[in-house]
Order: sequence, then structure tokens, then C-alpha cells
Amino acid sequence: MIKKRYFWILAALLIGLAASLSCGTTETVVETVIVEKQLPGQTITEKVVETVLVEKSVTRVEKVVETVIVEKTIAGEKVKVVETVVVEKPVTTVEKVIQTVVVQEVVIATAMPLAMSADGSERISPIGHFVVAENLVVPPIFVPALAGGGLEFSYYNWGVTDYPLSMNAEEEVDPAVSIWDSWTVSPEGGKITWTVRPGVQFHQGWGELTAHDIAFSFNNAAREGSRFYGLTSMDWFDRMEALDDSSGEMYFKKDNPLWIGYLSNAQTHQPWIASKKLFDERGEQGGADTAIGTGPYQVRAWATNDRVLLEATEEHYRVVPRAKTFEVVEISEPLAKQAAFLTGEVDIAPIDNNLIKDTFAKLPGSTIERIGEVDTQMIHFTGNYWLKGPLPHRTDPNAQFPRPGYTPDDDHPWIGNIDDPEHMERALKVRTAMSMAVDQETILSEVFDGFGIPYAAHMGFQPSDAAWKDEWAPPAYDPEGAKALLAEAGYADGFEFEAFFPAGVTTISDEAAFAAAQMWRDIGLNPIIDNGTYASGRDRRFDGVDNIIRMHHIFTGKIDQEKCQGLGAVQAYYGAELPREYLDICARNKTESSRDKRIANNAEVQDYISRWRLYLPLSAKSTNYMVGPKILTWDPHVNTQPFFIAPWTVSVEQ
Amino acid sequence: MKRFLIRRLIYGVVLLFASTIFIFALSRAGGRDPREMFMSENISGREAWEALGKEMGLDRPLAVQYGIWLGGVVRGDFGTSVREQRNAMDLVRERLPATVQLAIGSFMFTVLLGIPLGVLSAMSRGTLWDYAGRAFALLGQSMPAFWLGIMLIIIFSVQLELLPTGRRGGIEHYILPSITVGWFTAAGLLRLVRSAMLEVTDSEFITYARAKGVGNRTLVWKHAFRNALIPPLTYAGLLLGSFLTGTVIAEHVFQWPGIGRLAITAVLDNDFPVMAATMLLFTSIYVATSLVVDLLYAIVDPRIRYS
Repeated sequence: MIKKRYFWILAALLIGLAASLSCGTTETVVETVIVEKQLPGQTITEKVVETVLVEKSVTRVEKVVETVIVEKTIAGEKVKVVETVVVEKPVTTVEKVIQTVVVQEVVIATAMPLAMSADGSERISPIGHFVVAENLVVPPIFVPALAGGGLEFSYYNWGVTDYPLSMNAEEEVDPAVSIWDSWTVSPEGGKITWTVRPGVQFHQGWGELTAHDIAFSFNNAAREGSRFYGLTSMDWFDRMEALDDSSGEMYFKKDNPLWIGYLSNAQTHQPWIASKKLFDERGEQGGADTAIGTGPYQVRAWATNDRVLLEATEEHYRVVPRAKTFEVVEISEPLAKQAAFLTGEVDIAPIDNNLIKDTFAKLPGSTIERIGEVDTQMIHFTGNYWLKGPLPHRTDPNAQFPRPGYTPDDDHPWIGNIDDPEHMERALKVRTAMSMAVDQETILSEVFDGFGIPYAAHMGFQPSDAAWKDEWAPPAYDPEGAKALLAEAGYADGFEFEAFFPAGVTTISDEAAFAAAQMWRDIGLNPIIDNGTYASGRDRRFDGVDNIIRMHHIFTGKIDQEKCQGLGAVQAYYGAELPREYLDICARNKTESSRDKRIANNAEVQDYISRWRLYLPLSAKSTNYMVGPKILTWDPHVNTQPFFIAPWTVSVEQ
Repeated sequence: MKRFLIRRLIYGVVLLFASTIFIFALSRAGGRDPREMFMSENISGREAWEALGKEMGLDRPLAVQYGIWLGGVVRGDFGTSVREQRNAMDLVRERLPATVQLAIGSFMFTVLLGIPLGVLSAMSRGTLWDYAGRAFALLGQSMPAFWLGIMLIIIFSVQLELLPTGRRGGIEHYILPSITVGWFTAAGLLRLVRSAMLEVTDSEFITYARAKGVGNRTLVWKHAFRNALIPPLTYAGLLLGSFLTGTVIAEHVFQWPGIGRLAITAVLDNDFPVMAATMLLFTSIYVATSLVVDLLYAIVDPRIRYS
């Protein structure tokens, strides 16, 4: 925003310029520097503006009086008559005009202090302490290639690490708050050249961040044998190279218009920036448990499954945290978590949905903050592996159709035989019947106390989206209709089947699955339920081995992104494997630059999934953190993962 | 005595050896590739897969594979935790102090509550004290620990605001978890002490002592209690072992970062190296505590001789 006083300065200069022109000067250049004032959450931009006098051809339409000779017939004779007419004619003249040209725009990438005094003139030091409860305090594994737990984004969420790019307060990726302070995409694609913000420090004296650290972090995550959780989403990434301490290049294996998301906090499961120096000195294994990063909070103590104590880095490049210290404590037992919140032992806690109303009523001054998109609880009709030809496989490069779990027989009536249209329809009837037997509204109201929506589609679409189609909704609750369909499919007496409802995963509600199981029993089905640990079924999850009904979940939202993972039975698959043409549609979104087309592609895949009812949404629960009265502010940014984030925005009552 | 000690130590070693065979067999059970139990689900690439297979000796006979694994175990190397990417034994060492502290607190609660109440109940048979003691025993043995823990939190932390809801800290942090762990066992000890005391007090030597005019306090604590101590001592010794290995529920409810939670997390994550380390630790604790209890018999009852 240009301040008013600069406007007057500029106006005065322009008047001066006009005066000098009238005295016969042919060209004058006035250089004006306009500085946009920094406000909390905004970028400092310095623009060098030149006001110059230039000669310009100006074309105007003018009315011109012209004399013309016309032939007229007067009394039968042709005679020449001179007439005067007014015509409109373009007239070009050379004029001197004053033009303002921005000759340079510099993004000054300095700190973006959030903690300011009321008038914005003074920075306030971090002050106060707060405690956050989380369901899990993850282990500190600060080398990307070794981190395979899937919750490593906690390191960023808790303010310890950074990604190369960060979003600003408007939730746009912004070089002013990023470690990459500039980048250039090569015209032919395939390469990005970037520069590093100077002066960014690793915690605990591990030195200044350089381009080598960034290159190391990404190459390490993608190395052979890496267990980095987000590796499967990095198939576009080839390598990073540091050109010197302050710049580097990133190379693509294939186009990816969404690359920026993989390098920023707009997403999760991407490599963070680790210290190469630490790796060099202590080795990969030795460096893993040294919890350092470049984020606004430094780790003071870290005990897995217990607590993490963090302290603000006051001279941080992108943000000044508001609270001096904070602590994350692990409390997984819902009632114990509620008790800790009510007693004030924790200030922010993810309270279970069915305890929210009670907690809110018991603690005056508390508020509810919904985090992330809804989390769709999903039944997988596992075993419909319909991809033919050579199959992707974790360790066998020669794997061919069919998958071991592709068993379209009487013991697995929900699995359709892709080569037999009649069998496909019969299996569809079974899946549809099992879907009709489940009442999503009841599950939402009884299990999740109404916090959420009844259903969302597998590809992330919600009924509130403009692109939503009604046919994506599960069939209406109709147990009698379900029985009739089962009879049509040849299972009038129902059937017995194995179901796996994993226990001990906070994002998967086995309670919702048990509710669905009871509804299935009501129509004559007999689920034999395995309520074991999630990991106990881990080795069956891969390479199309599994063929039992499974409970899982999917974070809804981000309908414009590539969402192929899970539709092919390789790693974290979701029970089915689509035919090649649909996997191809899905894969196109890895290179599709048009958002609308990406959404359309996902919608086409969703059409197929819904046509064949490959998944059954039970309901989509929301995740809510309750905020205690001691917390004055907390601004978690949009993030599809429902976990605590942005501690630097938390301010505490003193 | 010396021979007995050596024999028991040999038994203990044999037992531990047998348990290693059992643990190893678990990792090979089900006909699945054991690499799945040692690697993250995110592992990619054939090279890493093959490398681990070579390291584990999967191309060699099962006995050799066991030998390779046992060699590591003897050196304290159970492998790298799948979840934490650290030596599994290091994790066990880190968590052990918390469990030991909670076990000691729970043991003290059990002994300090169970024994006096058991004696009181026995010596006041048929009185209000006896009924109160028996009611406590009944309640204690019928209340599930997770429910008791939550109730204690609601009453003493949320309602009365007297004690913290959980987690390690000062002495006040030990009270509710220790009660939760020790409640059930205190009730059991109470019943055992009561019945043992009743049996002893019905003995002729107690009647004789009473006839000789021995004072009540001396009669109870010197003559009756010491002779009634052997069954509770056996129980208490095994209790200590169970506290060290079985505080899982209390550790979960009170967010106590001990071995129990580590074991549960390892099971949830299918983290076999950590599971193996905790299982062998638990076995060792039981072997050690039962040995100590056997030795204490001789101290408590001079009639017992080991040969």
C-alpha cells in the first residue's frame, strides 16, 4: 500500500517535472523509491520507480472539414459540384507524455514478526507457556530417509523444522517467509534453480543453513532403501544439487505442476530441511535422534510417547513466536485427556467428538477449533484388483495379474470377476446391499455426536463442493432393500465374512465400524471381526494380498490434487485396484496444470468408483481441538491433517 | 544353599534360552516373510529388501538364522526399532526407570495397605473392621484397573483438584497410578494375609503363648504374623514381578512412559525388535523375582533348608 505522504511527494515531483518541461527540457527522469510499509503478516517490498518523459505516437479520431468534388445529375445532366463535408478521420501526432515505470522490484525477505505491539511499532518478545495434548508424541527421527512413521510432519507442526517454502498469513506460498527466497523454473521445464535466504540458523549451534543442507535433505529422503513416508508421492523428483552455499538446482524426473506443494507447508509428508553437517559428523543413524531444525521453536527435551518441551527462537527469520515455551504431552486416553483439559493441566487438546459438548459445558471460557478437513471413515470392499498385465510390486519386478487377493469366489461375494460381466453385476449387488444396510446419519449422530458430515466421496469430494454429484452419495439406508438385493445376488440367507477393524489408530474409528457390523447383522450377514492392531495386518496390506473387508479412513478435501495413491495395490492401498485406463486418468493429474481439468479427472475416477461402489463411507468426522481460557490467540492454518499446528501463533494470558 | 542357588541359576538360564526359541519362532510363524516384521511398510526397492534378507541370513537354515539372532541378543542387540530407528534395547533401558518407580510405589501401597488390613481383619474376625476389610477385598478384586484409574482422576483431580491427572513428576504424580496398580493386589494380599493369620491364630502354639500371658501385640506380630508370612511373601514376590511387567493399563491411563506402554506401542506398530526385547526382559524379571522369593523363604522360616 502506498502511504499518503509518498503520494504527495510523487505529486510534487510530477509538478516539478511539468514545470521543467515547459522551460524547454526535452527529457527528465525522476527516480522515486516507494517502500511498502511492513505490517504483521505482510511482505516488505521495495519498488524503484522511474518517472520519465517519453515521446509517444498518439492516434485520435478527429472531425475534419474536407472539400470534395462530386458528380451530380441536375436536370438530366451530369455535372461536377464542389461540396464541403465533415468526416471523422484518425489523426496521429507525436506527443510527449509522462510515464511511470517500475524498473526494479525487490522482495526484502526479512522477518515477519507476528508479535507486535498494538500500533505495530514495536516487536514484543515471546512470553508465557502453554501445554498441548496430542494423542501421540512421535519419536525424534530427524533424518528423512529413516523416518517412516508417517507423522513426521509433527516436526514442522510443532515449529522445529522448515520446508524450503512456506505459506504466508494469506495461506499463499511466499518467498518472504521461505527459505528459498527466489527460484526460476527453466523455460523447457525439468529444472528449478533456487537461492537460499542468508542467515537462517540451525538450532543449538549447528550453523547456518546452506544449499547443501537442502540438497542433502531431499536426496536423502529419496535414496535407495529410504523409508521416508512421503516417498511414494515423490516419483516426480529426480535430485537436488547445490551449486554453492547459497544456490542450487532441483531436477524433475517428470513434469509436476504441483511441485510447489511438495516443497511447502501447503501439504504434509514432504521432506523437511535437515542438517548435512549433523549427518556428516554423526552419520545417518547417529544424527537421527538429534532434534534440530530451522523452525521458530527449538527442542529443549524430547521423550517419545511422553512429552516434548520447546522454546522460542526469538531471532527467527520468518516469525516471532508469541509464547516463550510450550510443551506437547501425549495423552491418548480420551477421558484422561478431557480431565487434563478441565483441570487446566493442558491448554489445547484434541477432545473426542462425543466428549466435546460435555467439556464445553464444564469449562467456561473454552472454545472449539476445528482442524483440517473431515476424516472420512471408510469400509473397503477389499480384493477387487482389476488391473491387468504387469503389476507394480514392492519387490517383484515381474509381478503379473492376478493379485493373490483377487479371489472372486463364493467366500468373497463382494469381489467381482472383471472378465465376467454377470459376476461383476452380482458382486455389485452385494456391495450395494452392504452399503444400503448402513445408516450413516445414525453413525454420525451416535458415534461422533454430530461433529462431521454423513459422508464424503473417496476422491475427496464433499456434498458442499461445486463439483459434487449426487450419484456419489452412498445408497439411502434401506435394510429391506438390502435384503432383497442380497437375495437377487444369490445370498438370501446372508453370508459369513472376515472383517478387520484395526484398534489403536486415532484416525480410524473402530466404533463406527462395529456399528456398521451390527447393521450388517440386521440384514443377515455374519461378520467375523478381527479387532487387532493396525500393524498386525500390515504385511497383508501390500501387493494385493488382502481380500477381507477392511475399515480405514481417508482425509477429505484437496479435490484438485493427484490422488492415485491407494487405487493401485502397491503400498498404502485402499482395497481395490482400478483398471489401467482409470489409473491413467488419475496419473494425468501428476502433470496436468489446469486445476479444473485435475478436478474433472478426479471426478471421472470417482464416477467409476461410485458406479462400482468400491468403498462405503460410514461418515466423515471432524477433528476438534478444545482451547482453554488461558489461550488468547491461535491461528492454525488450513491443513488436511487434523493435528496441532502453528504454535507460533499461540499467545497466552499472563 | 550354594548348590541350590547354582541349580536355580541354571534353571533360569535354561528358561531364558527356551524363551528366546519361543520369541524367535514367533518371528518366523505364519509362513510370512520375517522381513515384514523388521522393516517399515514404506520400504521400497529390491536392493534394501535383499540386503536385509542377507543380514538376517534368510537364505540359510533356520538354526543358523536363530544363531545369528541369538548372537545379537546376547550382546544386547535385538535389532533396530522399526518405529524409532534406534537400538531396541536402548529404548527398554530408557523406559525401565519409570516402570521401576511406579512398581515400587505400587508395591509399597499394596504392602502397606494389604498386610495391616489383613492382620486387622483376621484379628477382629466378625467385627466391623473385618467386614470393612472383606468389603475392600471384594471391591478391589472386582474393579477393573482402567475404570478405577479414570474414577480416581475424576474424583481427586477434576472434582477435588488435589492431585495431577497423570504423567511423571513430583511425589504427587505417583499417588493415583500407584493406587490404581496396587488396589487389586492389595485386596488380594489382604485376603491372603487374613486367611493365613486365621490359620495360624488357630494353632496350638498361639493358644499356648496366649495362656503364658504373651501380650497381644507380641502375639500378633512376633508369633502369628511371622508364621503366617510365607504365603503372602510368595504372593508379594510375584507381585513385584507383575508390577514390573504388568502396569500397562495404569501407564496408559496416566500417560506413564514406562515399559508397559513401550510394549503396547511395539505391539501396535508390529515393532518386533522392541517386542522381543521387552518379552525377554519380562521373562528375566520373573525368573529373578521367583529366585529371590525362594531365597527369602529360608530367611523367614528357619525350618526351610535347601540342599
